[in-house]
Amino acid sequence: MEENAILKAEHLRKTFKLNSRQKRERKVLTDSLVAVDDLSLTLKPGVIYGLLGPNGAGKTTTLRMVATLLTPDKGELTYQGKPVGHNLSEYRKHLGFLTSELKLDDFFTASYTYDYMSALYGIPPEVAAKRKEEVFARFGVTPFANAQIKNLSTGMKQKVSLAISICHDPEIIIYDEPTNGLDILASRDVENFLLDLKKQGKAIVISTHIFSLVEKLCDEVGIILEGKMKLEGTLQELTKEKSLEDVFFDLVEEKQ
Amino acid sequence: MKNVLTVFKKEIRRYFTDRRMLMALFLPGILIFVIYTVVGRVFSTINLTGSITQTTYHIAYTDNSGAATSPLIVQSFEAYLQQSEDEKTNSASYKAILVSDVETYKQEVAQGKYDVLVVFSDDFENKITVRDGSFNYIHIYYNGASSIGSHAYEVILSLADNAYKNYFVNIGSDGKPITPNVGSSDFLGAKLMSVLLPMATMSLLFSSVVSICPDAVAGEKERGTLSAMLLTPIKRGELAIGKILAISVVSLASGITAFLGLALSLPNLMQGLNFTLTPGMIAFMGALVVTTLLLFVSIGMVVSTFAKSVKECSSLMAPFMILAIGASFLPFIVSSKSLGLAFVPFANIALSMSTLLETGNVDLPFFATTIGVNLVLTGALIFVVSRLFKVERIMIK
Repeated sequence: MEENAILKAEHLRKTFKLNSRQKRERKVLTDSLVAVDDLSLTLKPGVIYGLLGPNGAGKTTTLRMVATLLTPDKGELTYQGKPVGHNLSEYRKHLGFLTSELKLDDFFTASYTYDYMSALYGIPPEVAAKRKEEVFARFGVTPFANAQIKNLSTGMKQKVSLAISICHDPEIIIYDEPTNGLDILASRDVENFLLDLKKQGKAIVISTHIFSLVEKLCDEVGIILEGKMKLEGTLQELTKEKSLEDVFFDLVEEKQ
Repeated sequence: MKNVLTVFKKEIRRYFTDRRMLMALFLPGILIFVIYTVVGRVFSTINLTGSITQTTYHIAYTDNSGAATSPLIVQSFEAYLQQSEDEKTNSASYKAILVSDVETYKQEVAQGKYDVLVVFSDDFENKITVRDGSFNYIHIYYNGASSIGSHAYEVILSLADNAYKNYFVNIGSDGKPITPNVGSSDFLGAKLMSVLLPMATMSLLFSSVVSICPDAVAGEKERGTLSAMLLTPIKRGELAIGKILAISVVSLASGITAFLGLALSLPNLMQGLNFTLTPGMIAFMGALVVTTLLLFVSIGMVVSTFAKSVKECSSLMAPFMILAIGASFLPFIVSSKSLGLAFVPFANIALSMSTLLETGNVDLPFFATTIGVNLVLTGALIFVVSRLFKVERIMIK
């Protein structure tokens, strides 16, 4: 399973300090919360990995650590056999991260935002211009490329976000809750986008709590509960005897 | 450096093409011009020409007029006090002085001990009636910094015109114009400016920073647009410096507009007073303004980086603004400017500006220390911002 791994996350652990308000809300006395504990996963080219779990299980924290937005307290990320910690900038050049919490600046146009992000990724302007034309055409962004983002619909914004997330042609795509808040048409666009990337040989990880999405897209699945990886395997392995939904709820009941 | 420039250009584009942001940046300058002009006009109508109540005028005059008792002009002034409805609560004390003491008494007028000094040509009262071709004159001196002196001067001048209208008398002239105002001609203007300008400049610079900084980091965190940039390969320090540079330029543009508004409104605000900013003063002021602005921007950026939202940032910046404006009142309180004060942030800026405007001179060690303290603090705060950009608890929502 790990022979052609492009990225390995090993024994990740992340705790968050809780302030008094958070402690009251969560009804706990401890000063910190273990969000992710001893979690490992491996990403491979041309494979979509689905991280499945309920809200608060630690999916987003895991993906944020893989994306280097958060630093793990323990554990290590290895990109193409080399520890990421030693070369963060190089790793980020190969990483595309999308989440509903990552927003585009309403004030700018899609075209300008694309150019700006390309420049931050160090892509030469002429290469960026050519790729922008292709990517915008692929997502149908071209007609509204020069409109301010604030004037676009949610679906249009999603298309722009998708186009920008791959402006640097990343090898690894991380997508936190990809269809969250989208209508059925926009959701379908996202699904097709991920399948397209898979065909191109990208290593993809998504987090979701929607079983049908995992069954439709994912090759490998990890079920995460209370910050720990409870079960991991290919979709075929996990659903050999029962549906993914049953597997998941059995795990939840076992935990309780 | 390339990445810093990329971030800088994006931020500049953000601020200079947003109509609402432009309004927030440049409206203070326009408002200052309008408000100060109106205030200046209102003050000019009530200042020197108004009546003075509950006072004693101190008037000195030379004893060479040849009058038997007191000169006609003195008698006229006394009569005026008794007859005028506005002046009936006022009185006057008179002192006859030797002609040889005129220069001494000019100093006394300048120091505010006397309100008016009247100097007559020799045997004035007799010679004006003889018409022997002699040159007869009255010189009236006052201190323009004193409203009482200015008022008494206006009244006596008018009384003299009236009293000697049938005679050939040169009032306020001995063949060439004299300067009746023996107070420092710039005194009042400079005093006003030395208090007004530091306060206006500090508050304007800080308000332009307050209108920009909260959005720069806290706003981006709140909107979720910052994370996308934090995921790119650029160093977080580059991102921070790009933003700081852009905000400095934008704040400077806003500060210059406000300063222009102030400079253009000065003639209206200082009607009747002589106050000029020399090129040297402007150059030193420029150095102070730029370094002060950089300091304010870096304070704003630390707060904006630390805050989770625009609202929180604005609240956290309020105490700094109060400190800055409070410090601008220091020239009122602190009379001696020891070099030690040049190491106190904010206070050093206000005192440097005040000295420059009040005296027109630069206390070079104090001034250089102030600029140095501003720059060192700015550097330290920029370092703090770039460190804060690496703290995920602060940067990640």
